[in-house]
Amino acid sequence: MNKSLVLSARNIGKKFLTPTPLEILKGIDLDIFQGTSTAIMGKSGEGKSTLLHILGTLEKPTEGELEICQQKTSITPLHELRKHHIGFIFQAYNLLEDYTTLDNVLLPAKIARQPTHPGSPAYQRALLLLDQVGLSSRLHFLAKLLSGGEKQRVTIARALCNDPDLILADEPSGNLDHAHSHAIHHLLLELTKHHCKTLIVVTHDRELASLCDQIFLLKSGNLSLSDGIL
Amino acid sequence: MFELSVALKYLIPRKKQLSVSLISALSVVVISLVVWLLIVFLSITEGIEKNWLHKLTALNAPLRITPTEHYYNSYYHLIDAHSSSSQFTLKTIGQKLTAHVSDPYSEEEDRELPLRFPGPEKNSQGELIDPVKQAFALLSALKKQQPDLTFQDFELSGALMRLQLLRQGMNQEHSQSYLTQASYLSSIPYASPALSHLILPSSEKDLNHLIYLASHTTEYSREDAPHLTLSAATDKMNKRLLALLSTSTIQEMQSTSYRFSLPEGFLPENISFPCIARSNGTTFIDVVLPTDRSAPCNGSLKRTSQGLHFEDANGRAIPLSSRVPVYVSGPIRFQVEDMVIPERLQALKDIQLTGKMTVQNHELKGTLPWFQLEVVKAKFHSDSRSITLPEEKETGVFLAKHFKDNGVLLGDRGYLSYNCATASSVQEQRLPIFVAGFYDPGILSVGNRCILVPDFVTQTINASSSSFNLDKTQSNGLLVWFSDVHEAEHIKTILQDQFKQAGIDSYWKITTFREYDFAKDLLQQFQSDKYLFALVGVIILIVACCNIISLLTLLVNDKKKEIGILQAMGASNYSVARIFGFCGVCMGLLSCLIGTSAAMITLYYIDSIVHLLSILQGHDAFNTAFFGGSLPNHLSSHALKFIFIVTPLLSLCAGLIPALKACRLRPSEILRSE
Repeated sequence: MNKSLVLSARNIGKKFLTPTPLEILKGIDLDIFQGTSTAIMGKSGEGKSTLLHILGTLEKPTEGELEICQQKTSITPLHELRKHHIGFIFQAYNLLEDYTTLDNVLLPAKIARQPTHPGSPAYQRALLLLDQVGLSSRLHFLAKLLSGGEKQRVTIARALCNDPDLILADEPSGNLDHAHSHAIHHLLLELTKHHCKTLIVVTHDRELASLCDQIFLLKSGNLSLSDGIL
Repeated sequence: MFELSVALKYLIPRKKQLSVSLISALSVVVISLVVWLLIVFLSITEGIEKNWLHKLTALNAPLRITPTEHYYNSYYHLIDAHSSSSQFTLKTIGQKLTAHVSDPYSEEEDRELPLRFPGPEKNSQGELIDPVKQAFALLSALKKQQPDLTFQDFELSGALMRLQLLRQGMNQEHSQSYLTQASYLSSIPYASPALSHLILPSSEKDLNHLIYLASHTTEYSREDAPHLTLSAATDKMNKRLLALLSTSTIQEMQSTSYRFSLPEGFLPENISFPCIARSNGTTFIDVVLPTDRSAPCNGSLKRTSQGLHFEDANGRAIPLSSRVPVYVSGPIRFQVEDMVIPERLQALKDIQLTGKMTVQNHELKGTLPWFQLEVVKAKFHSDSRSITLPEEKETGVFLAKHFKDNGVLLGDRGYLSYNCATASSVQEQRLPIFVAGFYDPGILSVGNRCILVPDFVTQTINASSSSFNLDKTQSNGLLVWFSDVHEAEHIKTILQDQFKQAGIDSYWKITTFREYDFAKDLLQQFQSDKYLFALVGVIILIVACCNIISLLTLLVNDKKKEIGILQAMGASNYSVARIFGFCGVCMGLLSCLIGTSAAMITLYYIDSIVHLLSILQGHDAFNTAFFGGSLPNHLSSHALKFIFIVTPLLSLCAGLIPALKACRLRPSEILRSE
């Protein structure tokens, strides 16, 4: 079966001019197909997060062209792409601390102006996702009261709330201990598989990378497919 | 709405955001204060303007139709002076209206007209144009379309008023003084719908004075000997008093002398009243009960079944003769429960009053005659504005309230003096008048010197006197009232068109209240003051709203991470800007609500606040002559509209600057730094 192209990056480059000129990404080409999981590994400071932010349209590349779900980022409003096609999972969770677990998960739906009242499809989906991440009993807890592992589960549910095509995860277990990291890795992979989502994860964690379909290495601004694992 | 819910969440004070909460509270307080100040000021100034307009248009009418020079030089006006059927006398507009014929001149009966006498102006049917009757007919037709429209003719005149101020002293002695003033006379505007509001209500003081006057005849009193003031004839007094007492229910009276003679029946049995008994050694002269029990006394008075007894300091009871008078010292208040008026009333003393009074903390009940008592509390029946003596040979007139403040009372009598030229000399004529009431002249052109009189008075004086030379184009005309004074310009245009179509436009000049010479400057000043203060208010509001800019800038810095998260979730820049725009508008609206509530409370208690200010200042905070008895306390709808539009708008503008800052944040940078 032919899988459709979810993300296509051509000749992506990124230069920082201040404080000193630095070319952090050079001519990166990347094609990501639907339903695959991809790990991007590299040393600290190699530009993994920058690349992920560029792929997630949070940052513009200095050069190159990016297409997400066949839509060119140069002509499509970026917030529309983020709203409908991309879900983010951050290392620092980035939850709204004064909102409840349920409100945090419903946030992308609210931004997309979907009805979120009890009984609405978005609400039902949020309940289902929270059930799948094992937080049914924490629906009305304020985010600031949750543990690190629970917070990361909420971000996974939030990333899936709008049913996006692409999930971008930046060190999803970076702030967790080994036992929790292990659980989160499996949850993340299982859920993306279960919902047929495409996952790109930036990580140092070899265990997580080994669970993905493909691994890319970022070194000196160049992205190369790791041939050791697949 | 998602943005609004986020904005409200941001504005709710939290412990972690103490600085933001404090600045936010301060901003709201400052804007609320400005809103409060603006609403109170604008409401009061609008209320004052409305009151003034109300008074101005109640007497002068919002629309005035006056004859032009063309009218006075026309055949129609001048012909009466040459016509025997008009008794060779020029007619006023009121007389022209009631005249049977428009052209009273008869070639057979009257002398030939002078050579340069203006010719009659005729309409297409060849009849003499009657501008007065036509104007009234057009107004009557307009009234059918606009039922709230009323109109009448008015006339101004002048005379010397002389009032006799007859007064009764504490010891029943008479005194009198005279008040003389050259006055303008204006016909009473009966058609004015607001006339009754201008007439001041009568007071107990007026009632006492009228009761006093009812038993005296003033027309024969001598200026040099008030003690010779005669008592009125019994029939007349009977009629006057019965008429007066039917206008009100007397509820409370007070003694007029410092010692009030207490009828024996009032004292309850077996109760001792500390008293001072005076004797000449052998017999008692009188017994005085102090109203207060703590006053020094030389014994006590007690009533038993055998009569009155005086107990001296040694406890010895001495019987008192019924001829020894018993007084109560100091003014006493007598609550009237019933009043019996005999059919043939000879004097006030014939009226029996039943009620109670309090002496030395004891309630004394009984019946006593109306003697040395004055009314202090009365309930006036339906229309307290018209308690006057039944009109006799004098004419009732209304004086400006300034006279009341200077001691003139209802019922005071006098005359209007004017000169009448006869064939041989100029003679003084006197027209007897009495004060039927007082009115608030507001901003009448001649203010306190204007007396409202029935129209026959002005007609009589104008027909015979040349003492007062008033501008004839202003002293006679038509007044037109309608409920909404702001329609004046519209009605003026309609009338001008209709007058033009009827061919009488050259006879009349139509002016609205905004064009009255005496009111024009004041009204313009009011308008300018209002605009000026609104401008100052907006500037203060802008300054106050600047607080919002600093608050929201702080909030944007504080909420950077959340903004980044929202942007990562797909929130557009516009959406982020709306969050902070809503923050500004919410603060503006909250301030409006707080400020408006405070203004409503202030206006509700405005009299108490003004009273407090007056006490603090040591004199009246606001001049009653200028601002009226009390400041207006109605919330101005215009002020509310102004505030509820301008404040949120300014707050929104203030919120836009931080909103733009929030839009320019890069989510990548924020989330990376977090």
